[in-house]
Amino acid sequence: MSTRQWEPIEANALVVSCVIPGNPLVALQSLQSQYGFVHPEAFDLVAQAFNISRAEVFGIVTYYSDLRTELINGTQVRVCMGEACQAVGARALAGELEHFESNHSETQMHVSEVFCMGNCALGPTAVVGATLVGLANVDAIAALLHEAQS
Amino acid sequence: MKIYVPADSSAKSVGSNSVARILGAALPQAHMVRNGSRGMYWLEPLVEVETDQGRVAYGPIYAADAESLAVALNGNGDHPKFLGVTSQLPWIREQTRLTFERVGIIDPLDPVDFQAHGGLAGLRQALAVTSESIINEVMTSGLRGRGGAGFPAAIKWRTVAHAQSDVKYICINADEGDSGTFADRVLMEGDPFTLIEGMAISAIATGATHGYIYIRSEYPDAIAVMNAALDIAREHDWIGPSILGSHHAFEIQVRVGAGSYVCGEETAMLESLEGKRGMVRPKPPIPALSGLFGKPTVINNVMTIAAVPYILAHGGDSYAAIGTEKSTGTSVYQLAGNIAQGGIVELGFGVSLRHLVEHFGAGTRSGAPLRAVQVGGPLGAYLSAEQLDVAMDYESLTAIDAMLGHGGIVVFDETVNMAQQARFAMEFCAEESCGKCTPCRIGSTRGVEVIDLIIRGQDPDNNRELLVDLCEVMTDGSLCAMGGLTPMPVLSALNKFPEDFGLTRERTQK
Repeated sequence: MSTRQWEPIEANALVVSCVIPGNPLVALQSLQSQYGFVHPEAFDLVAQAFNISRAEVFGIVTYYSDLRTELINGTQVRVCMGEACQAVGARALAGELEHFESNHSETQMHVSEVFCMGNCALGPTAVVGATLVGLANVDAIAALLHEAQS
Repeated sequence: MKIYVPADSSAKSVGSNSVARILGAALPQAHMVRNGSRGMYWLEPLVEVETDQGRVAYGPIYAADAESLAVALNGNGDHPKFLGVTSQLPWIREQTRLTFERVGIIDPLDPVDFQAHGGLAGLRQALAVTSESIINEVMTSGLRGRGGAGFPAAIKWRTVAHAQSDVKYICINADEGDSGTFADRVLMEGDPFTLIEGMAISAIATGATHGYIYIRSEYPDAIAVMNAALDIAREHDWIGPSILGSHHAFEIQVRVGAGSYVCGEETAMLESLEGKRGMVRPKPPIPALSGLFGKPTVINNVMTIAAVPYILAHGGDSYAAIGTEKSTGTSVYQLAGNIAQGGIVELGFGVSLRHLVEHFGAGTRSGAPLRAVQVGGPLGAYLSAEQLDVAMDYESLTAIDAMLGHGGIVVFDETVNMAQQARFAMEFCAEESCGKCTPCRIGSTRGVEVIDLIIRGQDPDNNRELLVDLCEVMTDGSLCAMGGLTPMPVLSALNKFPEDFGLTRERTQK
């Protein structure tokens, strides 16, 4: 996902555009999709625009697992840990991926877990960047990582 | 030649986009439709071709099979992956598809195709009668909430219709977070207009003027398709200032979740829609009287509202004739996990779990014996192989301390460790708890610790008793289903599979 450099004036315009008909969560989601993360400076912008305290903004950001306050380096790889994927080897896949990561330090990747992508009949499931992978294995994930980074 | 290559996200996860690209290049004269999924996921990517006999299917057509299929389609159509006429495949033929009538068949964003297959008949009927008769029709159908609680939809609607307020809302819960459930996603990607039609009918019946569809961020394709469908619906006046030229105004917006499981709980969803932390609200007041922004609000699951157009078009009686006495109509079951033939099975309530798992599902994918089935998502009970004869309806499942939930069925083979699954249920609750009430917030963490002690063999009898006691507190003392139902998978695993906890069966029979 291509994201832009943090730019406070532009960010403020974005936040203000979300006041009507949106809400603080919509503003924070817009900031994250624009810049890849919620810049700590944005807390004040959102607080002012919506007339809520900085603490409330902090509360919203930390509540939702999608929102992050730091930029992720490399390609995000999410492995589904829902029960349906566990039933077809998701834990083993996560272990193999960890092994792959430690053996391929040149590959810029950020592995995390996700709970259910709605692909429960074709697990195990992974998401590489924005690509959903069904019947996933390390080779298929590695190929997509290679594609994303070449 | 007309060919169908699904653009459903699950079909894409096994390469349907590559297949579409290769077929498109090799068959430039063909008209390609990117349909939704027929729900036979073990056959995805499922390519269909229009012939004199009807639509015929080929599957699974992976990218490596696409070239040879293109050659076959340029010739007489013979291919090793030929399956036959799609509508005659036993898996499709034996289903009762009402809500999923059009999914996988039509072009999801073609308004003409939608209407040619019966779309808008329900909405037109709704506009021809009074709002009270719409609600009566839904009452006659016996439609109950498909999110899990099973509350009669008509009673909810009537409460909102009778509430006095300048603004009323309809909020559709598309935060389908349960593992093993994907029906909402498949419908939104494959037939989004049906959801819009159902919402418009509900708006006419209740007097609501604003609707929201709360979709989880894990469903980017469903979000994109719904937004595109809303634009088309506005252009055609299916929604907007004047529904089909009537005096009813109704506007719909999509709102995207942010990765919180508990926002699938209705009051947490309202908080999230208001832009706050998705924390559960105590009830009362019920959302039908004081919901979004304190206004009367209909909250329905995608599957509930998507059943409404059929009910209006064909009458509540015909819907009520299907299913069991108290669980009327069809349920959309989702076969998932370690299953040979996973996918969507829409059937009348009351079919046995065994029929779904063994007949439709064809047993485990691994071929190893089935050990456990979790019904109803991460908060649902684990059933043992001996319990497969249970009828799949609200009452029968409740009678064996289980629940239907959103209709998800997750199959595990003999390699599963049920103590680990019980531990995971507590761990998941600890991770996703909104933190509002103590039994859920603290109980889940203590639950993980106690299960660890039992697994390690530390004072197992007393710790088992402690776990059962903790589960009782969580069940009785939690504010919502998150903490209240987490004990269900934990206790069902403990009671039916004590050996996995290092306990003997006798010890658990207290």
